[in-house]
Amino acid sequence: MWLKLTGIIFILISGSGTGWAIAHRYIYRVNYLQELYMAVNLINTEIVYNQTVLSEALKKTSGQVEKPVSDLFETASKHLNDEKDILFASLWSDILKESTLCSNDRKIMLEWGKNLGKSQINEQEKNNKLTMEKLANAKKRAERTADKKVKLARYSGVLISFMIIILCC
Amino acid sequence: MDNLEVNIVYKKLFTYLPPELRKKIQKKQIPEVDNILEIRLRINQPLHIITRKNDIFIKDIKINKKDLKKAILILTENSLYALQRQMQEGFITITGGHRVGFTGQIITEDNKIKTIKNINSINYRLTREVIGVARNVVEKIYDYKNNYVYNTLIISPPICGKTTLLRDLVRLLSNGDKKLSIKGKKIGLVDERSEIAGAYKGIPQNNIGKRTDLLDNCPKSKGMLLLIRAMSPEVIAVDELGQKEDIKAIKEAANAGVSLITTVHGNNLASVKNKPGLKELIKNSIFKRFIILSRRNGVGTIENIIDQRGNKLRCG
Repeated sequence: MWLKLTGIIFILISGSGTGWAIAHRYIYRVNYLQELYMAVNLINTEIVYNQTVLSEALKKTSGQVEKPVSDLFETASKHLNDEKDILFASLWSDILKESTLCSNDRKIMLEWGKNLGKSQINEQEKNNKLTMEKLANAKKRAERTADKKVKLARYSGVLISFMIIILCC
Repeated sequence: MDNLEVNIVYKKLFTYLPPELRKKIQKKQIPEVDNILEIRLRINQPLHIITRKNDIFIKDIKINKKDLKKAILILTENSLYALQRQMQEGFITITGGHRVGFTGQIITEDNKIKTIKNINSINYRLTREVIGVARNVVEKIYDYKNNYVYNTLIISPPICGKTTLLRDLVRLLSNGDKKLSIKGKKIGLVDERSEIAGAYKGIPQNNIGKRTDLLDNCPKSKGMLLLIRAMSPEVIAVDELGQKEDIKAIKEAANAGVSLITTVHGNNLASVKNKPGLKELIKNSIFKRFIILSRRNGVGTIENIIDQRGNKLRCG
């Protein structure tokens, strides 16, 4: 009987845990997009108002946003400082490949990186604002998806656990 | 500059070339590498190197559009926007005070140059800090009786060492020189192109003296007025006079009793006497000393030092 009880608790925890883990991915993406939006906004401020050199702007931004976005920007800043002959677009592409961004979000940031630092202030501002708009739209879609899927994932986890328990018993 | 210093300068300059181009150059035996004055990249043309004595084309290193685009991004540290004003002038200054000029397609707005795009050629001009060149002239521009520096205009064609001389004059006058009985002066240096002090993030990379206050990347006219109001300079040094606003600021500085050392492009005194703005300054004897440079016996040849009455104080 104790064995049965242990098994039931184990199934319940695993099932619910899986449901919560799936739900967390949707929430994680929303937060990630929010931080990316803030980061691009901060970079825009540094470029437009202070004309800060890119490596410094990335470093300053990394100190003002949460992980994992701060890690992306800090890595980029470090490489730009250490290797004076590196080009930002290719560096950024390599950094994004290692990130946990989904492919659509990665595309937005890749496009941003391709144009960053390559033109005058007003063009840079346009690039940043366009990226912020894309990130804001992506975040809205991610929030709508999360609204539908988070509860579904959590409840499904619990319900499937109960189903398995009933079937086994 | 000894060989070690020259090598360090070249290594630093080469880091501003695209990596692929740099590797190709390093494989080559460049003649007179210690005497390189300019490295020129032109689209679809072989690499061009100008030394003190020669004009060399490296035929198997051909420059393409990608090389130029990469070079600009490296030069601007991936931050073209941060050098917008310099881009409008057609050149930027990199660490060490080296000037990098470029040509391409000019975009204008309201009859002014807004920016340059589709860059088709880049010229890396090497500058060298030469400590001691000012000793050849400083006694002639110093009033020993009243212990002040005469307002001095250095007249020189391009690439004849006027910036090198100005830099060393600033250093010497700032530190003073016991052997020459020159007391150290508070110098205000307006380094609009970052060529004199070669500042990087505001920190001078060249020796400009212990009593020198540096305004880096600042328009000359505004810089001079700021220094007069805030830093009580005894001497103000600026490079390459040209604009109307510069001339106005020079007059204000002279009226404030501040000594001036400045430079202008020209072959001799006659060639600058009729330049707008300068005509009035020279006529009113604002400048008491004129140093004329040339390349007759190499870069930095002092052709003459003349006073405001036209008397030669030194012949070349």
